[in-house]
Amino acid sequence: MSTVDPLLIETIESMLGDLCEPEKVGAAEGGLDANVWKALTESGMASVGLSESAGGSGGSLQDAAAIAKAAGRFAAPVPLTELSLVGGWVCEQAGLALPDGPCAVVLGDGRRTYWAPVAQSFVVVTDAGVAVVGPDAVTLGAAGVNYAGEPWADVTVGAGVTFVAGPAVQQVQARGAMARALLMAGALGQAVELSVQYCNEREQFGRAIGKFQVLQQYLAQMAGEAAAAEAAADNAVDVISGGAGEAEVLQVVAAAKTVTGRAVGIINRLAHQIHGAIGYTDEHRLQYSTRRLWAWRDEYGTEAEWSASLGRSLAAAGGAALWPKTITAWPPAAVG
Amino acid sequence: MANRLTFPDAALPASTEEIRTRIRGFLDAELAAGTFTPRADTWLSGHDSEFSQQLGKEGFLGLTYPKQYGGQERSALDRFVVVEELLAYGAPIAAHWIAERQSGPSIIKHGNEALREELVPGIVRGEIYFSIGMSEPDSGSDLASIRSFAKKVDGGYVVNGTKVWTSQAHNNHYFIVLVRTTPAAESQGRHNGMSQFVLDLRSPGVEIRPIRLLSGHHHFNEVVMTDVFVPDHMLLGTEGNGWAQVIGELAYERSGPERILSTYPLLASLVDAVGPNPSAEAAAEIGVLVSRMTALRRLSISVAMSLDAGRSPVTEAALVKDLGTQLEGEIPEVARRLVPPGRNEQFDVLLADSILSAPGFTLRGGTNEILRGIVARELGVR
Repeated sequence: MSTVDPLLIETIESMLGDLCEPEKVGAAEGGLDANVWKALTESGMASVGLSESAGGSGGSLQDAAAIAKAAGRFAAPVPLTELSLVGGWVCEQAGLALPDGPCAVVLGDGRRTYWAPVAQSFVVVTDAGVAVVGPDAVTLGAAGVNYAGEPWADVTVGAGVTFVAGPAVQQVQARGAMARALLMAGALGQAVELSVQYCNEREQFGRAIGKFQVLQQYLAQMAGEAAAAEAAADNAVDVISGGAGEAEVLQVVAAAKTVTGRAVGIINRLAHQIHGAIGYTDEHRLQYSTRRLWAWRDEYGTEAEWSASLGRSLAAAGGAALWPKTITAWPPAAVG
Repeated sequence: MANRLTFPDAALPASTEEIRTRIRGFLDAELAAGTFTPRADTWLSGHDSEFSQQLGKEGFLGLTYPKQYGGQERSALDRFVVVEELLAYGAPIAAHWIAERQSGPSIIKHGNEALREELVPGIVRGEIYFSIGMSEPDSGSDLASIRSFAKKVDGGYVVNGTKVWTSQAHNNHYFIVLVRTTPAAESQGRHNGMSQFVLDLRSPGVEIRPIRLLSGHHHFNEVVMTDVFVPDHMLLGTEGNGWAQVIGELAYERSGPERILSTYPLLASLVDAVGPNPSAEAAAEIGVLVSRMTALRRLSISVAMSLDAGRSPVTEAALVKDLGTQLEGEIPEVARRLVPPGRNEQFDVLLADSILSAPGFTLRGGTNEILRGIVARELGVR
């Protein structure tokens, strides 16, 4: 496991804090914010975690995860992790050049490809292998936006694309789920923080509403769920960077997507309850976090799909294997 | 996260692997020999002095204690590993539990030399057992309102008062009792004027009355102290400093594996009971429980590492206990939905243990509501 330099976190948070003011996040809906994308790519932040030999910025998976969490926290309206954690990783594994510009990852039949309408490159992952193609090589079909205004489209890849050997669809799906879990971990923390702020600012009955015990109980519950969510996402990062096999990668990502997705239901409900009617309006910034959370928990597999997949593999292995093979394997012990 | 709770990176040191292998070998052999049958919630209910003494002989108790009192001066993370393995196997560990977890460390930290030499080696051997003497009939969550009183006399103190929820007092040798040594009205602030004593539960004037649980089991007691003489050297630490001494123990008490794993043996049994090809619903529910358990275990390790590094993550420990004890209670709720009664005898026993113990999970060691208040304050609610 590699420890993240606090300076990296400070740098990315300061960059995104300046660029991702709520009105800009709102204005980018339906597309992306070109300034944010430019800042992330020019600073190299968008390709941290991808090796320099593959054209990335270098650094560990933990570094890339910290950047993804910051992007989630600030609701950065760009497809950062489609490059840094999913598409870029596919290219690195397959020995292909990193995609140019914002990319989308076309998985299997290409339905509901996240960010496809604004992508300049497409990382195509099929049973036949992987490829990177430009917009000319694909056709966009039905299109729309998720709950947070992030665009998607059905993508059909034209004939004549040459595929090379690369990660399987299921493994890329797992990388996508890990990426969404990290984004969610950041956004969940933000929803908690906004709620704490609001509890201190808003006064009713002559005092800050945070003086009421029931709201203190809500905040503590939310902080607990957010901490558990981040821990689950971090477990996935540490297990994967420790070189886990494909079956274990699917399991640990399942746990991450399950815990983060479940936390969304709890934290969004309580955050909106605490914020009252104002938090439910277009004016308040809380929505930029909570709408993303509702969207992300469904992307790259819902927690229901992932938890069932984990449960099936655990049941097949039997009760005696659960403790030594899974529970005490995550987080992995440090290497001697 | 920008709030004030911090969970630093969590990874047990590679050096803990050696003792994990050793304790697993020991437990596998004991299981094979039929020394114990796995049960749930064994740190409260599994009182077995032979088993505790066996653990002592094998060198699994007092790992972190100084060598001069029989300890091994190993890392608290080695102890974390031993404890989580004992809990996961459902081994009977209640006899030595409180003594080894908190009484020994308190005596080493605050006790005088005579007290240390008299008691600590016996704790390490798994022979001397302790209970906790904190709560009183009118003082639960509001511990500072205790009324038990120790009056100074020649050569010692005379203690009067009543303690409740005293686990295993009928089987144990001592408790560390928190009493007032200055009346509340004369103390500068309600947290002053309290002291801790090591009190022999067989002293004249101690009456131990059982409090049966709804399960019918006898773990808890009411301990009535009437003019009980306690010699001077049994005063723990400084007279009047009892509150600070008690608070210092809380992070150790709240974030350990026992706040996550009390019903783990039932979860393992559930995985077997649903069979290798479970329904989608059963698979998903098991997946959720295991996902949460692994996330919370990471937080628990993070707190243990902070403690080991000399920090005092009291709030983080409170948060882990809140989450962990909720999970302990969810496991039997899920288990009973997925496996009807009468299919599997071992499962039924573990389920009964867990269902009937569950109300205690979110009460003992500080109710979850009190813990959430601590967390909210740390989050910065003013």
